[in-house]
Amino acid sequence: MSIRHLMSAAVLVGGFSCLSAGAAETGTVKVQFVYGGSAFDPAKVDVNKDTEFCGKHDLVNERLLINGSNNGIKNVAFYVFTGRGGSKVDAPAATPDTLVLANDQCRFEPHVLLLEVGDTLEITNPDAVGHNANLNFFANNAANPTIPPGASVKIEIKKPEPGVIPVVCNIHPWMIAHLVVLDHPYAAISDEDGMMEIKDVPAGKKLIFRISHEAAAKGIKEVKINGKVEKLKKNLIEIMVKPGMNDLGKIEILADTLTRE
Amino acid sequence: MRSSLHSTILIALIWGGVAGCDSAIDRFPANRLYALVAAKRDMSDTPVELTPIEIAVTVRFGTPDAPIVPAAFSAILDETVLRRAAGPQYSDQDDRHFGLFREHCATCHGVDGGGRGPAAALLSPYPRDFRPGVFKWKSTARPEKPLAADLTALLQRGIPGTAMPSFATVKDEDLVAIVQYIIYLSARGQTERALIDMASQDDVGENQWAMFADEAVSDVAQQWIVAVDHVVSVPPVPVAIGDVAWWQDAATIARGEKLFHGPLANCVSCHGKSGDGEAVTLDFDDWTKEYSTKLGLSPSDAAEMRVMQKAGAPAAYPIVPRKLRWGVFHGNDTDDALYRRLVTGIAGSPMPGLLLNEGESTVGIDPGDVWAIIAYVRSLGGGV
Repeated sequence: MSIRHLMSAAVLVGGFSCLSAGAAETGTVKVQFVYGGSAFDPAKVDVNKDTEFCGKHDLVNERLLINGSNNGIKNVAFYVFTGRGGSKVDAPAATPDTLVLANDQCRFEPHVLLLEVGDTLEITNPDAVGHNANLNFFANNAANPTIPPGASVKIEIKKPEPGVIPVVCNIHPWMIAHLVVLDHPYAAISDEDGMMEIKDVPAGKKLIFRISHEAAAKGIKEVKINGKVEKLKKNLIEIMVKPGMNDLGKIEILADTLTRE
Repeated sequence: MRSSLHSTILIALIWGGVAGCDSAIDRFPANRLYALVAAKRDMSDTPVELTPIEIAVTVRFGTPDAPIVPAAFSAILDETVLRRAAGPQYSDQDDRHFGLFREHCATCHGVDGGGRGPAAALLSPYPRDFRPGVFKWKSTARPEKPLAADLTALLQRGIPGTAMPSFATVKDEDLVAIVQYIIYLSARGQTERALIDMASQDDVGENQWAMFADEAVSDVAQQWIVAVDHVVSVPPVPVAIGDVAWWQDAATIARGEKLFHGPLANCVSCHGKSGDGEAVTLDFDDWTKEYSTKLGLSPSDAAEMRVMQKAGAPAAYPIVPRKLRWGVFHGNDTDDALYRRLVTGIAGSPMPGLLLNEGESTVGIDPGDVWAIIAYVRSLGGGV
């Protein structure tokens, strides 16, 4: 190999190292949301429509789902808040995804769905009865299509939403889902253990996060972070995101903040 | 309810006796209800400061006595025409009427088109609030604005089954002015709401109001201008067989009955078997939902609803699926109207639109199915 080739190779290698050293640092935010009260069984739903089909499934009120073994709260939305008093984040150019909201066994699956601007929301109906999806958007166009069995509807998500959006089926009025529509990907919904992880969050600075849950209609004013009381304004909490893992531990939401009805 | 009735009568007396439809009104009331809704949605302790918003909107749209047409609306609104609908009510020697909106509309719809005129508390359903820019009865797709022609037709027909009367006896040129004024009030209200949203969600610097207001006006104007591109086309009706109308054909009605009660359209779940309205529902229209369920508040939460009503909300209106046996359709019962009703649903209400098959798909509903459902529905109401 000639000297010129070797030198080019060295420049290339050096160049690549420079690229990786200059890349923005990111962190993973991990947290478990727990309920500050005793776990309970959710109430059964009164299935008064299409009882033959819908009555077969043990439908429950999904407003507040607490894990019996670890008090984890399901369906908490936790996300970087970019509104007034929030943080500015540069979101990477989004790869548009298609996310499915299914009318499955007379309930919406998932109960809470995270969407980013540019995504397509595909609402499907794998059930044998007709459903509709009444999408009560603030910013995007409100829509309300019926979805026959086996069919699906695609909705383009063009704008972020200032609040969590309810989606209801008017035919089966117990059916409700919620959409969290953001202009960045730094968000997650807690699973049945109350656990969640948000990956690739820009690190090295304080970010404002919002905690949002359907059962906290009057706002979350106080939480306990690993036992220590923290007062919140507008459901907002400030986190210093370091590179690598940021395990926030347990955030406990007080029992009287979350109502079952 | 009783005290709101008393205060309504009091207001009506004061307005009628002291103020009157022939007196000057120098400013529109600010949309305090929406400021409160935005504050609750965005979890702020207090609603936004409305003064800079009212100034920005007044500069662009004028006052109840002196309307201004923003440049973005110049293609669809005419200031000379608007001036006849605006201002105090009077007529000249040639019996040309002025102040048409106050003469015919404001008693129910309010001076700002916000649906809280003096008579509003007595009416169920409550009069339309034009400010969200949502209209139920139109020839355009669900999220779109109506055409001026749709509004004119509505004024001429009224909405039988509600307190909205027909204005067919009003001169055509007066109706033109009123329709323009409705669009004007709706556009003004929607601009005000957009600015409230902006102020509630982010910090707006003093020198940014002009830019944001112009953007909002332009946005709303576009929605009205493009409405004409979103008219729902209606395919030809089925061919009549024999000497009965197409919708009286027994086979068509039978097909419609199957669809009505079947899983594809699932009309039964809300409208009841044979359209008897026996299905149990508890639902609200979008105007009510905006200050209640959409914020996670229940309309039966008296304390929360009192706060909203103090800010100008009407009493929560439970919306009931149409009892089809009555044969009364608020949005008109022509072939075109009923077809559009089924295909787009009714904006602002829980009534969904049917999903029409696209391309090769046969999973859902065909136009022929829609006509069949209409034929069945008409057969329930004793025919037209």
